[in-house]
Amino acid sequence: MTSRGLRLWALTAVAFAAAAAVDLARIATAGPNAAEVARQSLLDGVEARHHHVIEELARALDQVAALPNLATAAGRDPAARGEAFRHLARLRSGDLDLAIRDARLEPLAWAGPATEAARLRNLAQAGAGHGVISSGAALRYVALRRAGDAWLSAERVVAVRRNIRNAFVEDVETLAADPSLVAVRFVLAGEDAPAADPRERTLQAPDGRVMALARARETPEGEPLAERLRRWLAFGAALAAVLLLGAALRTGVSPAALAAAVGLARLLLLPLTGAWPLGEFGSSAHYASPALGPLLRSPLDLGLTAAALAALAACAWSYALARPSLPPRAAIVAATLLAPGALALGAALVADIAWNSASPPEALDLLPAFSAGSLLHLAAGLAWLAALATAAALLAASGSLAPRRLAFVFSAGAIAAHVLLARAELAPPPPVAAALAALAFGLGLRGSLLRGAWRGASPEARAAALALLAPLAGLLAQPTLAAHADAVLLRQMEADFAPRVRELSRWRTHVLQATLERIDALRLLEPGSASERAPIEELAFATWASTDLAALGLSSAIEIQDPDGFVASRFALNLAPLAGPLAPLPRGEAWEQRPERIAIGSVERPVLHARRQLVYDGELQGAVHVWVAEDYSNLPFLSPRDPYATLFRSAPAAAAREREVGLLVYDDARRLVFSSTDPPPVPDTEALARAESGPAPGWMPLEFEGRPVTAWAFPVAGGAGFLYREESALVRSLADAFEAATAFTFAAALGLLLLLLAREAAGHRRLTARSVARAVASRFSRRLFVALIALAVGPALLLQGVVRQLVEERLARETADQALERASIARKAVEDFAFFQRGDYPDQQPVTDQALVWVERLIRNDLDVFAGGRLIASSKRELYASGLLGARVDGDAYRRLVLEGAPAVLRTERIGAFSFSVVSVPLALGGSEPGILSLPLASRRREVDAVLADLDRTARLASVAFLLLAAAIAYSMSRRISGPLFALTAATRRIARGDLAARVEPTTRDELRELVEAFNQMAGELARQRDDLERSNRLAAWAEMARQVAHEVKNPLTPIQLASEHLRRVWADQREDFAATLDTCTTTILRQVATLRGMVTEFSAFARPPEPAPLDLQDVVAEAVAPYAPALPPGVTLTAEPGAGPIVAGDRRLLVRALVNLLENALAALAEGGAIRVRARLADGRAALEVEDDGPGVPVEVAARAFEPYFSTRSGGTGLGLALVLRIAEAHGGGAELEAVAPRGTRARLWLPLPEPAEPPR
Amino acid sequence: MHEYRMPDVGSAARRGFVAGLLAVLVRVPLAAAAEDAALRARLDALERALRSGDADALGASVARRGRIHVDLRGLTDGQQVWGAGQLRVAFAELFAERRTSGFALQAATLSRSGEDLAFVRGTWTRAAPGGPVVESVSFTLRLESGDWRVFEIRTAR
Repeated sequence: MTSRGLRLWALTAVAFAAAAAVDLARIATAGPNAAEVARQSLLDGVEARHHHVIEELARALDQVAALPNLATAAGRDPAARGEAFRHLARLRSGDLDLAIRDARLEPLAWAGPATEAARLRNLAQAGAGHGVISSGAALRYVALRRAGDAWLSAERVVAVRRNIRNAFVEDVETLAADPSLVAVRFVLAGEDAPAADPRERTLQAPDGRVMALARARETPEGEPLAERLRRWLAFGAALAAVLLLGAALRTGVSPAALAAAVGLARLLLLPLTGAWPLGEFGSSAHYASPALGPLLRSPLDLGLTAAALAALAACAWSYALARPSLPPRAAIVAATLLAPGALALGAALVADIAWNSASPPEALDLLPAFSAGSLLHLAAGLAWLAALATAAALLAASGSLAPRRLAFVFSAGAIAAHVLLARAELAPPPPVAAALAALAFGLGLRGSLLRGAWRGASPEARAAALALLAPLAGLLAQPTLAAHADAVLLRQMEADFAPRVRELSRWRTHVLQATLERIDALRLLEPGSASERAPIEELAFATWASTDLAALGLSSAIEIQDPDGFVASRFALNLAPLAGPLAPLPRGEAWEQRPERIAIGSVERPVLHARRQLVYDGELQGAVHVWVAEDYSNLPFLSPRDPYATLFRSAPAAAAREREVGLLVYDDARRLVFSSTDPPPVPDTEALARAESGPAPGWMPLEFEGRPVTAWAFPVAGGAGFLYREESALVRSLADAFEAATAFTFAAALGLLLLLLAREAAGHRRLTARSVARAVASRFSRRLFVALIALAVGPALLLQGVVRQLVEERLARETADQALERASIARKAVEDFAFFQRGDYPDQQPVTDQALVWVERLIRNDLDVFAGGRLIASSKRELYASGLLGARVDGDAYRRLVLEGAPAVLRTERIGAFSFSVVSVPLALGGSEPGILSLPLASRRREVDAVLADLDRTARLASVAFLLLAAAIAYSMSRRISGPLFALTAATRRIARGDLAARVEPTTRDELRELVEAFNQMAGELARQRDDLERSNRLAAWAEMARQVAHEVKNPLTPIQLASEHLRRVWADQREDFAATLDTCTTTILRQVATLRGMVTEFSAFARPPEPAPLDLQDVVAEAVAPYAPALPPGVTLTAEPGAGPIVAGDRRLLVRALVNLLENALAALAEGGAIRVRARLADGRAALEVEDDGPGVPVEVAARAFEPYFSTRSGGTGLGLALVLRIAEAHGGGAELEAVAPRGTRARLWLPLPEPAEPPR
Repeated sequence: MHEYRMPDVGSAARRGFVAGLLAVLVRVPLAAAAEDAALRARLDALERALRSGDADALGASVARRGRIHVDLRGLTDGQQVWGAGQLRVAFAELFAERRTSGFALQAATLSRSGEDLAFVRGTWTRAAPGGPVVESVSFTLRLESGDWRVFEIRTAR
């Protein structure tokens, strides 16, 4: 590790230690009151937010009070009011509502849904500046101030009733940042503050009046110091394990040690998941399984386990490739049982993810959110990679089996495993299973090739190869998870949804029974009870909200009558108004229940109606009615047609599904009773008969608008029911898989980028952002590739943005046109109704809720009517009765339509996070000023959102496809441009090595062709010049050879001549020693002749060119050594080191001769005895023949000249032996050298180049 | 003299008929009785599991392969739909954090709907820093292959 890296790690360790010390010190100082300290801290936060809201309201009132000409603005002059509306709209910020009111608190100008005057009277009478008022589900802080004759008000919602909390309205929770930790009791204006519990914090208005009481909810007691210390130690150990793992990876430890480190790190990380708040990642509410003990208790646990499994599998694969094969019997077991078993375990883990998730993950967005769902997808991908690598490792270890036999036994095992998995509903889709088996087999069989490539690759190339596994993981994980999610859904349809449909009536009766018991417990209207003190107009909603009707979001209604039979309070969800303002009271105190049918226009809906008198101490206080609709429309698993229905559901589970579930119900006369879609799919007679026949329901195919659907058919009350969901189209499935693969790739690229930056920061040199940039920059083709892709990104994003903008604008235009058309029709109908209503009932409101419900069915859109800015009728009364919407038209709309006479206004309204467009038009109601007809376009907004979401998805997919196409084109172009350059580079290298026959085939018709042709011409010229040079060299060499031969031959000739002449002289002199002289002279002559023959032989060998062929150098060693072994001089040993020698291209005879010469030299050096070792080996990328002796050694200056011809330190040596060795080595493209060996001895080495590998494709 | 008597085919057929008739007549009440016994056994097991805070035992009482609707006020974030294994882990955490001090099913609230659905409510008492919390919890059970299984657990409002 670099010093910079060490510093970074040291810094991390210090930061870690400091964080641990601070945390532990905090707990230690808190002592046994740690929980109390935490509670007080929570309450401090609530109090701070309370004061912030109070100050915000006061500031807003200051600004309103400072408006110019406030008195004029508060008058009734339209122009002045219009100006006041503008000012208030300008001053309004966020969710703050402002109003200027008259002396009776009636709003004259407002911004936001101003509260009705009646609700503020208590506050005004009490002279309070600040107070809390309730409006349905919402509780509001209000600041009220007198300004001359006028009142100014500023208000904002601070809480919603928890019973109807859901994703859409929870963001209005202002005081309690986390309502699961803090409970706030509000004190309504005019009410007396209840006695505060000692654990409660009192939240006061500036005048000291109590506005709320806050209490920390029941929480687990604070963590003991020892437990906290244990967690920190575990965290530290895990961090250290991860660091050691990193170090181990760098230093190259064995796979077994690596596997142990990975397993240990995972186990050490175990205590972490429950230690700190990790949000949805650490929550069992998203995913948890008891399958592997503590390893799968949350999405994060699963992710860590899957990552550890993948790392262990990689170790196993690496180990398997490095080891010899298993014996055949074990190989058969591994191939038939263990390898398919590994894949089966992976399949079981992925299935477990789907079956034990709150929302089984189906699709992964191309740009995935940082969420638990994305983590589950990632874990599934890792689990598949782990299974794949393990199976491949086992198959690689089974290499002792013939491939065909291995394929057979593995296939048999894999098929058996798949059948078993399918029986347990754990099997992946068959294409995924087949792909996995094929991949595992391929990797197992050819893994050694990959391993070789892996070892030869740079770190950057390795990282890129690992990143390429990401799309594979996505392609395997997404279809598997989607298939299991579908299986989960089918199971739910069969076992969960169908019984609910079949037993709807009894189920609703059960819910109604629980509701009635709850209402009894509330003791409605009992004198002195809390219900009596609550505002009577809100009592029905408050009652409804505290029952199972609200918890389940059922179509239902509650009405509360006073003792005279007048309806004092009413709330209905998805049920039209049920009775007139005056209805007969129920007969007794006991609940009466009966089924009824209520008419809405021409449609009748079956309901259960329960009612009773409210009698306390023998005195009639009123009566209560409860209705629960028996229709199927708001079953919790159906996506509601009513866009507001989600506002009243505690869990929009149906909306989370990719594919919606549909429901068809037929009665016993085979008339369609209910369809969740319009138009409905039409089952044929046979399907109906099958569904009716019961009691054996079953799955059957149906068709819905030409698309196939899978339906669960079952009998319902003598008729037939069909629950269905659309089959996933192949194109859609492919798009989903492609999207997931891309998402995985993006995630891997992001991870890789972070790794590179981290390594860069740690001071590494390899595998850093810079090294990758260098690797890209080092090749023209890579630069070109990256540049072309980068160029394609901009246009793709721009096109996507432009298309979205155009479509959005077009949809907005269409929506506005459609809305205005509907508003026009509705206005005519409402005005006609109002005209007759004024004539028939002049003392009543000109428009009623019933009338609007009728018009709503006509135009298929909700509508509201306002007069004087106040709501007088609505087809969706529950939105106002519940307080989700304020009963006053938007101030800006009022100004433009009523005060300025605009023909129509289109604006956006919001309920929490749920926003929708509203079109408003003026309405003639016969009053002094026009009324306002508003059409909320919530359904249309949902359609537009769906279209835009589809468009975005399609555009993103198209952009990625476009980028892939651009990448393919970029690759092709870079190949076309850089291909000839690579060929030229390779050919230049060949020429540099002396291969002047190297030529490049021109493949283009541009400048590159000219370059290639010029190169070929140059190479031809070089070849011709070399031939000329060789010819002249050859001539020169012949001359030199002739001169040397002459010189060498001349030397022996002299003694021969002298001996001959001496012999002739002695003969002529008839000397007595002739015989002795003859012997001496002939000996001399013969020796010289032998010398001459030796010279001729050496020269002959010297001149002969080699005839190369593939050759194992170990064979050369064996052949050279063999003749010496039996007849070594005394005291000399000769050892040929065993092993497979390098394979070279060489002339066997010449190389044997060279080695013999080296051996001879060694033997000559060992006159006193010693050891000779001969070996053939690979050294520094070359093949070498080495002869090593432990003789006296060779001085450096001798070693430098030893290979020169005729250089010899031995008497009688020709000086050609080592020269010949060098000549032979050079003729093979190699060389020769002598070196001293410590402590004594000489090593002679003849080295040869290894054969050139085939030119890799570029 | 040996008197040959024809086999009494009629009486054998009669015996078979009577036995068959008895079997048919008895089968329906027997099956219903067996279902009632199974339901009682399941409710006993459910009560024991919640009373002792045993998540594994509770897991053994829920739908084996499928989804369980869970909506516990103050303990779950609205309505949850959990797998059987997930429920075991989640309830183990819940039992560990909020000690159960009592649980009793209210036999009077047991109601059957059709052949394969049943509803029942119970009173669950949990320890809490501010004193015990008592809540009414509603269970919905369905008949799965002759065995009753819980597939909905909800705090009754």
